Amino acid sequence: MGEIGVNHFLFLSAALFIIGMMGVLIRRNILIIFMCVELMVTAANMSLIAFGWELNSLQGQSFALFTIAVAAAEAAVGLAIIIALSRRVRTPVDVDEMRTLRD
Amino acid sequence: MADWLFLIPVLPLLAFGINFFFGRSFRYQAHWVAVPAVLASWALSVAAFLDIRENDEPLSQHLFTWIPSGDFRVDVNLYVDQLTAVMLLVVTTVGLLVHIFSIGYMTKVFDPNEAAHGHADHGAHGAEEKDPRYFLFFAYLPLFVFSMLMLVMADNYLLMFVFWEAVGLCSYLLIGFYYWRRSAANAAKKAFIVNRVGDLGFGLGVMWTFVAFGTLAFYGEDGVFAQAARGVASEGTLTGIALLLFTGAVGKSAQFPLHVWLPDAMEGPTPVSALIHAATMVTAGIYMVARSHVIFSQSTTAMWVVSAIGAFTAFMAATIAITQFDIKRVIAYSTLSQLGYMAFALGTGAWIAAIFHLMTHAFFKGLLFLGAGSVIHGMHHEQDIRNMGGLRKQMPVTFWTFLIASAANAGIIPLAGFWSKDEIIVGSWISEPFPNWGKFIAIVGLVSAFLTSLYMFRLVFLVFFTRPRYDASHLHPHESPAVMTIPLILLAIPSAVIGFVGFPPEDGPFHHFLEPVFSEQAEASQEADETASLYVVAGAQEDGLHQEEATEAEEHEEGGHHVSTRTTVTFGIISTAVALLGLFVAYLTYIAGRIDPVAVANRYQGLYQFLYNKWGWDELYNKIFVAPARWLAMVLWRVVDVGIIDGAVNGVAAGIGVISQRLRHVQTGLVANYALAIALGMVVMVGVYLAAFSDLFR
Repeated sequence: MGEIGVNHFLFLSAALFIIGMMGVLIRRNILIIFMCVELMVTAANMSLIAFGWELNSLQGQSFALFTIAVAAAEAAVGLAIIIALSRRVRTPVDVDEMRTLRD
Repeated sequence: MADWLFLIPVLPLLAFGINFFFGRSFRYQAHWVAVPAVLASWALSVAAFLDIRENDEPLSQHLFTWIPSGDFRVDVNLYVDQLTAVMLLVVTTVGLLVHIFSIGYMTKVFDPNEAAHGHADHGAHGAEEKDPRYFLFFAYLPLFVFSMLMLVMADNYLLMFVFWEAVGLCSYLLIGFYYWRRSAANAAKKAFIVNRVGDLGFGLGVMWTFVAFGTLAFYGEDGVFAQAARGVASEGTLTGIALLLFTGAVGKSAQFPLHVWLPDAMEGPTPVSALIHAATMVTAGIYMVARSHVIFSQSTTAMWVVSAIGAFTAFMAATIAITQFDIKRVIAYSTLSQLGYMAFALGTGAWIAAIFHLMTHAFFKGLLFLGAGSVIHGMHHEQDIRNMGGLRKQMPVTFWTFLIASAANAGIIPLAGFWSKDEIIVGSWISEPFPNWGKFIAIVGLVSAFLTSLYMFRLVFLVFFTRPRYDASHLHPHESPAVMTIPLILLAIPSAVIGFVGFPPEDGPFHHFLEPVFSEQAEASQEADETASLYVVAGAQEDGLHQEEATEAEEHEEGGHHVSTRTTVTFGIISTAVALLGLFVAYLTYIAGRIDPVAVANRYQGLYQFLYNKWGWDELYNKIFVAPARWLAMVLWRVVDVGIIDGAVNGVAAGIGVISQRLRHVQTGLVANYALAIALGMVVMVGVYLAAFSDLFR
């Protein structure tokens, strides 16, 4: 094996992204879907950092920092929604059962 | 320069404005606005007439420049020469008397029973119900007078055309005055549409005039007539212009192919028929042709067409008039016939005779209509002469005035119609442009004169003589109030004596007065070549004084155009004989009972039906114009409008509905589906990018 280059990071990033995407597409449990979305965001972050590292630029890392911050905020909102939902449904939350945003 | 000329038309316009906008508040006093305005207009017209007679010079007033556009310049000028002065007197005199007559005639609803059916505002109160639109009548009538005055005072073709249309509009409004009656509404539409056909020709003629001469002004150095007399335009151009202008006259003056609107126009109130459809508006075409005589007289073809159509109309209308039973329709066909006389007088170059007949006709025909209005009024809206009879005892004033008008129309010496009609017949007999054709037309004129006398006295006898044919126990005919009989008497005077202004024939004061209008071209034409000399001939036969000028051209030495006293007297005797023959036949038929009209009608059933159905023109036009137009309208409605236009709009709406119905299934509400769509979309986008823009797969 040679030197670890940007391609390795990108493959890892792509793998993470596809895993996350498959999770979002296949699973029904809202919590797991949520975590998979986080996985996809992480994959995107990873490729940003990889390019920043490759190009000797801080821009990629600072982008990633912003994304993490946004993801944290999103996670807070998303978890709040999930908790609110689970209080009403009382069962493990299945996205297929929630087809309308109305009551 | 006469800067008061504008008052003549403006006063009636003012009356229109006041009555139209504020008339509602003084309702049955509206005539106090209209009558003084027309009276003042009449007085000013008389002043203008006297001024011209004194100074022998046209009056004019420049009002403003209407269209200043490069070479195209149209001024609004008032121009009063001898011809216009005569028209002004006719229009304002008849107009004034008709206004006064209308005060009595219009206060009552025309037909309370019919109005009650169709019009909720009226009716239920019986015959004494007053017409709430009285003020509107006294707004439209001055508007007509204004338009007609402007028409005859216009000094260019465009201004004339504008007011030509304006009088058409007034005619439409007044024919359809009782618009809730379907027949009146239809008659108004018919008059308007048939006139459009003629006006199209007139409009094209005006345009061609501008193309040919570069101006539309009548007079002046570069006026249309001066240029035409100088021979600026070729004879072909002049023929074209003349024929197109005459098309307009055919529409307005109700000559043969476009005559069908005038009898139907009798649906309007009777004073309207008297003023518009007998005395003034329908003579606008005659006036226009006479005004354009310089153009017409240079085109033999146009003159031939004018005389042929005029003679045919005169004869046809006279034959129809014999068989009609509606008192107003008989007079309407008589009007057609007399307009035909005027037209063939124009066509044979007897310009002054045509204007002379126009004037006398305006008085006696206006009187006939007002008399008919008085009869209808007295008979409580009965118009069928089969249900009249013996009215001379109940309505003496109406009877005597009606008799004078009828005799004048029939050409009984010495009433007005005799002099003018006789002059027309003599004029065509000696017509220089068409020696043989002119004689033929003169004979047609004599035959029509016989028919005229026959139908006029048939009307008089059936209405005023014989025994009553109405139910005397229910219907009590009465003489009309003074406000109606005084105009009758005032009109009877000129109907009786106005003919003497044209005495002796061809050489009366009337001819000398009008002579400058129709002879100013004569001097110019002497230098011009023979195309223009045709005019000299026409001018020459008008007046003996003209002989010296005419004889200067050698060709005229040969004679034939000279109106010898012998010819005049001979024709005077023939005309009188013919008229008396008509009177005699009418007497035998309707009073003495020697001839049974019903038996005659049965014997010549086909001919009778043909005449009774007015030669079938209405049916023919229905078949060849109205029916195809209806069919086309149906196609446009059902296929084009409903099918294509509505179809397109509704189709778009329906199509969007269908597509939406399909598309709504996409929105499932399942998060997984949305996520899949997003993922697939991303995959596709990235795939396309990689395939097309990167070298990954190359």
